[in-house]
Amino acid sequence: MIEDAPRLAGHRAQDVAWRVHGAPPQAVSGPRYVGLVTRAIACVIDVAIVNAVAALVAAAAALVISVFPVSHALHDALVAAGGVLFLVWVVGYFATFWATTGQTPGNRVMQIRVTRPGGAPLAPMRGVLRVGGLMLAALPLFAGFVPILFNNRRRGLADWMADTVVVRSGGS
Amino acid sequence: MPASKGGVGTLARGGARWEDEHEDMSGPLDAFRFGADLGGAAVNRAARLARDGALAALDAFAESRFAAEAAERMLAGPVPRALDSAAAERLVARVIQGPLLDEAVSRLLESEDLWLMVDVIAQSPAVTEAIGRQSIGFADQVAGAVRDRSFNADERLEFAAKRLLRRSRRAPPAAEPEPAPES
Repeated sequence: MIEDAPRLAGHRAQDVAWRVHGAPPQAVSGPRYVGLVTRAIACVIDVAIVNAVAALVAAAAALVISVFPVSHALHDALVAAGGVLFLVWVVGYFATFWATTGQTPGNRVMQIRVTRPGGAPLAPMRGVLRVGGLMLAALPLFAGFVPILFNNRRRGLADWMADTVVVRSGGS
Repeated sequence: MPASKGGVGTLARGGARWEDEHEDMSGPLDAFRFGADLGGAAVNRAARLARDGALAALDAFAESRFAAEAAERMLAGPVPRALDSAAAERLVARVIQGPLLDEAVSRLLESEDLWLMVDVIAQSPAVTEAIGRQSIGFADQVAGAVRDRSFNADERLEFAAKRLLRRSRRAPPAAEPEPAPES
């Protein structure tokens, strides 16, 4: 039909665009999964916050401890305790934010959210599991993040382990 | 007229008070003093009445339609022309270049009240809120730009990775090396 000509031409142009770019773009109406670069930037922001807070607390603790005489053995024990506390802080930071708002501050800046595939928020233990998945994914030279580039829902090892997805939360 | 009645009453009261205060006085000098005081009171009263009357007349004039129309005509005609004139420009330039403005500014800057006022304004909720809003707006703008670029980078990286994967799948197996001829 003559009336349908512009619409058909538009569809044809879209088909050509898909053929040129290899795969059809994701449907705008459904959840928009977030790729590797955005997630990496969000992670960098979060790591900067985590490390800044940890460094401040460690400096304050070291200042207080420096007043008291500490034996060598006690010093080692304090360092070990500091390491454990740091691990707890990191796991707690990510798991708490994912389980409550679904967004860490870095995610908030990048307007992304970690949810279950249906859109439900994560349970706290699932958040802890996801943090463990992130650490495991980073161990073999970050190979655990490579699957994000190749699957339709952009899921990495941590997402598979915790059965989560990362979607856009803003209007953009 | 109540005012004049009041005036006569005041004079009478003034005279009676003077008589009470100067009961022991008598003679031509005292009579002269009494007359001078009475005259002074009368003049003061008349001056006050004249001033009140002038102010009332001024108020009536300011509220009148004539004054409004006159002001309107002045603003429509001669005042803007006078402000646009070269003479006004010269006058303003002379004031700005002259020592009067420098003196006024330096005195203002030396005034502690000015800095007190600046401190109060700077710490006012409206100003702090506006500064905060501006900072948040700028941060949002930067974050928005980073987000847009990162979303584009996501697409490009995935496109490049998938193309690389397809190419490696499509690449033909390497040809086996021909056996060396037996010598």
